[in-house]
Amino acid sequence: MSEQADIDTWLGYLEQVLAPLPAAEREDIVVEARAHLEERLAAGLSATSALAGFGKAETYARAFLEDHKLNTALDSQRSVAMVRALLSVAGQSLIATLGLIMFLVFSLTTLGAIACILLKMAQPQMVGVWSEPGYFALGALTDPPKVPEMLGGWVYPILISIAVIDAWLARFSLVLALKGIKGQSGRE
Amino acid sequence: MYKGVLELALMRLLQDGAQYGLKILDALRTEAGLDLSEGTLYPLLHRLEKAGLIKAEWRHEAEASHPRKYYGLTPAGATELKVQTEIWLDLTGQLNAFLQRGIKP
Repeated sequence: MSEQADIDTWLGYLEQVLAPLPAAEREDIVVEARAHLEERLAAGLSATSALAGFGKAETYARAFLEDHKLNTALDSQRSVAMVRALLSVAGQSLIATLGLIMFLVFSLTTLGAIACILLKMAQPQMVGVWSEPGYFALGALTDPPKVPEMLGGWVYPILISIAVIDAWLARFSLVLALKGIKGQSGRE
Repeated sequence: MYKGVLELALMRLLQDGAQYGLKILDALRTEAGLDLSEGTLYPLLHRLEKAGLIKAEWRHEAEASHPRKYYGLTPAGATELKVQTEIWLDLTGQLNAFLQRGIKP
């Protein structure tokens, strides 16, 4: 196989692995790599030597693909897309793992608050705040204590506030983790 | 940290004028003594361009068989370069003084 054919094969494969990128961005990366490689060939380098600096096409493409995935997730502002993007890098990134843990914690407390609101509507005596010397309980209890519940109807705005704030914190954890990874990728 | 140094050296190089990838790579190797590969440089250029620190344009030059993508520093990049240079000089100044402590001239 000729030197030029080796280059063409590598570039063809690079174009394939960059398929998730928008066409213009993909073409930009491939054309730039082609110009670089052909200039090296023209200077007398072999195709093998010229390609060595780029490494395997899938390895070279990975940085572009990960950057695209993080940017797309951030731009979409959709929690599902952000969770997917973080899950894809969680194995190599402590920030992604921490972001996902925080998201999980705040999501669970949001769901817990919503569940308490629904339960309060169906079984008012089971949800509330109970306090007496040496005893304090907040939330939903299957066997509430005999002392009077303290909040009454005020438990609704409190639970709604918890649900809204924690839902915002869950989403904020994802945004913060994605921005942290993007910043870190340039400074490691 | 190494990528941070690359980023700093790259922006400093582009402060002198726009350059294309292959020339940037060779200049960073020979002038800055940084042993980097194409697989490191191009994704970094791509990321800095997305961050708005550098801008790119394709140029068709008579002596080249292919168009070349030239990268230049943006005003935001120039500001970032100034900040990062001050941090770097301060850090290395302190570290050098620390390492040379007790060494007789």
